[in-house]
Amino acid sequence: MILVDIDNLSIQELKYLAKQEGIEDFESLSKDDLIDELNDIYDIVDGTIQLSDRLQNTSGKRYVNSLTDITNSHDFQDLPGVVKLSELYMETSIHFMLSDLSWGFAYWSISPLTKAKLLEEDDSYLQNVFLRVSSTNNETNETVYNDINVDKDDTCWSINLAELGCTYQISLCVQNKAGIIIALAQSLALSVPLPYWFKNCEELEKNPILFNSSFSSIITKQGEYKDTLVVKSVMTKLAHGDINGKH
Amino acid sequence: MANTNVNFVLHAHMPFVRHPEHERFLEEDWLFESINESYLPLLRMLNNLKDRNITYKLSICFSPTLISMLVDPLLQKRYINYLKLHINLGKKEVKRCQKDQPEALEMAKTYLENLEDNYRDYIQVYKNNILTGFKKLKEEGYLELLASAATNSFFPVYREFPIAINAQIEVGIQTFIEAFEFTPDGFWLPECGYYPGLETILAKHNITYFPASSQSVLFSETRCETGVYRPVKTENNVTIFPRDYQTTSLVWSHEGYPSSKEYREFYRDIGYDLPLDYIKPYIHEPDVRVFTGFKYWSITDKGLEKDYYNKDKAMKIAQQHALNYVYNIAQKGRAVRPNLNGKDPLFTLCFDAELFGHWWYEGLKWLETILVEQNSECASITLINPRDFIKQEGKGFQKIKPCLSSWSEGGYSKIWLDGSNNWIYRHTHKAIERMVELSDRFPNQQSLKKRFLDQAAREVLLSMACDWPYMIYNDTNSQFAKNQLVSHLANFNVVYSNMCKNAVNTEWLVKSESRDNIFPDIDYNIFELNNCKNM
Repeated sequence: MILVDIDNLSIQELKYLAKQEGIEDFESLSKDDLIDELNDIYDIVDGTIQLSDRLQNTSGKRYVNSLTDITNSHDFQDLPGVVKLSELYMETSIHFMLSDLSWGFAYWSISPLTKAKLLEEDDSYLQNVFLRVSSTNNETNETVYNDINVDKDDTCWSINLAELGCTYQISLCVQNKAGIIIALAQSLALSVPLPYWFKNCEELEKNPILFNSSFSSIITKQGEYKDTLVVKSVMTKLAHGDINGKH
Repeated sequence: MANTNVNFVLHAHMPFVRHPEHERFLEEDWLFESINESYLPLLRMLNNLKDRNITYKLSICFSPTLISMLVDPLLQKRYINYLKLHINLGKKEVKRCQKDQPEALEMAKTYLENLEDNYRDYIQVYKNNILTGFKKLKEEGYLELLASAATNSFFPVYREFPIAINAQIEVGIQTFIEAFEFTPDGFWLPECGYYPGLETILAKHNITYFPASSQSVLFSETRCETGVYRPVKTENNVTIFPRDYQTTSLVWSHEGYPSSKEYREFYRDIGYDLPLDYIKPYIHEPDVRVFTGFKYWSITDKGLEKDYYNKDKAMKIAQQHALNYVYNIAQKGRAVRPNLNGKDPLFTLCFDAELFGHWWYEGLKWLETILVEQNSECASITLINPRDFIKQEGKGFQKIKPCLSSWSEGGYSKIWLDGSNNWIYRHTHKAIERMVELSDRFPNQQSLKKRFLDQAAREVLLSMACDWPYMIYNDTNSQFAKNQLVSHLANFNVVYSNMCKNAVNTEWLVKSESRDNIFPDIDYNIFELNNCKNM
């Protein structure tokens, strides 16, 4: 963010701002016209015309994100032999990462060779690509499977992790019309912890000193807490007195 | 007497933005601004306190990319040019303000004085290498220095590739030893990114402690008896210093101290304010306005009209804020002590070093006041470094199993796996796999092939920097970040495709070595699979 004085900007800078603001004929406008057009746009915030601001502020100062597309002006001179990156790679694999305790991200690719083999065997395989999410409870060892149907052209997916305290693994699968399933690739298995305080938040309610020495550390002086699944859950329970059925 | 201990950690970092192929490169200004407004003034302040016999303990981490740029002769020369150019601007500004803007004259003189002090210190005292100043303070017992990952890589998104994490740690430590001439025992995890099991790789490199975010400890499956107010240990005895989010957020939040209306407004700078024909010699070609560091206004309020900055008033407020901060820590210390089994609390407070002086102009005065206050006879807090605290009380730390965490928004990996930037990992993961393949197929090469493979290892590590996905997520300099990332990956692919044909592209190699000259002693064999057995 930058605070600029519009009246002092060059015509190139004004044109850049005009382009960012979607003024169609910006190339043909004069400097004064560009300033007028931009002021008209800046005076409308959230659909409301900020007349008082405009009248008070005649100096033309505005906050903008940037003034020129400076990054594009840097020609990253490619070194000899450099070629563009591939969109996808020639192999079949799936990779899985944790975004937080309730979401993961998986990306995959199916190699042309695998595709050719599947087509040769039964062309209906590639019509039914899906992700099999296995979640194994870390305490009971019980495993539950959930299938997510994806399009054959999809290459990545955000995966909801329904429960804490489980180990998740994603398999990239195909199924033919006869119901035969082939797992093409399997991701790393990742464990999502079941935090102690998530299971035992009644201890916090009963013991303010304990609360102070643990959870208060993630609350700001304005009373905002670090917004995560665990904190939200514990705070909600404490705020609503859900523990012991109190309100 | 009961005591509240404070472990104050500064993290200094810049992504690798060296571009010798351009006469002036805009993003290199990030480095120069930080040296100018944070690192050199910080050194002056710390040395001044030392001269006044004020004892203090601070921890600082310089990221390996920053270390590499600070010792790079080309960037050192460019920083001197930057200083000369800005001294020239300062002199011009003093004259202009005397005539046209007397309200800004005092600050114009202050900035000019700072630039001249920097010029003197940089050349005469530090002989172009400011790290020597921090090293000296470490040797004298004032500072503790921490190592970090080679290119500020966010580890949780690379946990599938322990070999790459090992390479990041090993090269990071090598760079640290080269700069400071001792073996580190503390390690800064970029963005405090931790995942269970990481401590095994850290311990392999004799790392004995690292700071982490609050939730690494609070959301553990183990009941942590002391919350974030005492260090804990992992199963393999690496000590974790959990950060106190609440106390940190008194500074590091939208409503923290730096947002006070009397403080200097960062976003209004003469580089964007004054007519182009006046400011043109000090900005970038072609007419690209940039920050010059000359800022005359106070935050005032969220509106567009700003009051002139009053330095004396702002500095007094910074001192009050510092004392208020010390008071808050001491009060919190008293509040949590009853649950610490008679032990004294330790607050770990981590901040980006560039906050002080660069983003928050008064931040150095604030920090100085804390350092002075904790040294007074009636001080309510004591600064201590992690190494001393472990020596003093290490046997009593609880063992827990920390959990996945970071200090970034949301507390985990969400911003690194956002819809805007998650495409990156398909390419960086593949580059790691291919680097491992090259190391296994072509072990212990000599001469040209070794240089070729070493350069590939540099490009892989540079592509793993979490600065690129962060800038893309934040939509700040995102095109630059994409260009930089894609350039490192595409450069790596030159080596991969050539080595698959058993060839070396020498023209590429010479140019690439000259541009991405980071980590001169790297050995690509660190990517060999045998290096990550049992990790």
